[in-house]
Amino acid sequence: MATLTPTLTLSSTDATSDPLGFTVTDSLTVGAPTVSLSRVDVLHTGSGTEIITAAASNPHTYFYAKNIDSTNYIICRTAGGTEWGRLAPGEFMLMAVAATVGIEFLAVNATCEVEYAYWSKP
Amino acid sequence: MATTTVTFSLRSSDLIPSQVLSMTTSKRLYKAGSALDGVNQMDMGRVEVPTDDYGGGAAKAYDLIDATALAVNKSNYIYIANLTTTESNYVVVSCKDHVIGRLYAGDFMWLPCNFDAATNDIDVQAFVGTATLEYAVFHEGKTLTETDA
Repeated sequence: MATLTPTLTLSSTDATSDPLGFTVTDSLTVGAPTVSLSRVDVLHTGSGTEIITAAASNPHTYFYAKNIDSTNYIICRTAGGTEWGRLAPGEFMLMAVAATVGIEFLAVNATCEVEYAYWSKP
Repeated sequence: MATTTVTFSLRSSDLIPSQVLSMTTSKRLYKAGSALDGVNQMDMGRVEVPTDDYGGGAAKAYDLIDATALAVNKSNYIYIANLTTTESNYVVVSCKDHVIGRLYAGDFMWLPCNFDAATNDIDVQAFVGTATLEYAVFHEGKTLTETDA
């Protein structure tokens, strides 16, 4: 077991009249299987590139990803193909992926490099 | 336009002791297809999600974030946190009626959602016990509901 500490901060001085500035943090106990920060070329053909399969034996997974590409966006889907999001160039996400759901990316226009990592909840 | 910035960090000293994890990334929130024009609308709040359909029977999924026609194919940055402190209580998060995630007590998500249809709401369903959720949506479009007659 290990401890992973994710922290998210949202800030703005002009989104509202009251400056926005809040931080949320969590202390996650994580275990195997884990994949440390990695990079992959996400395909823009077919069903793209599957990062986490939708196996019934999959654990609950904390998942981070960032679109490294400077031009094109990627489509975020479940491993079953249900689209739920898009990552523009430079954008990132933190997801608590339910067991059996999986993660799949499909690049738009051209192959995109994506950074990702994931850790399992024991 | 507004200038809103999201910063995210990951830290761990014991995942791989010989390789301490310490990363930070940051991004301004832009309208879809733009690298200049920031998103200018925001909804933020807290809700309680019951497990018993308000005393009426089995738990249902509820719309937390309603995808509307004006939000289709626009930027919709979503933050959801489960503020529940009881570890066994969790919330299932769905999009298009498909489960995409699960939030245990204290966990949060940051999602760059795309609503490719006005029916692709973000739904939540609480299990084990009532969940208190904190959420925020930074967006550039939303169809307002006409007032009741």
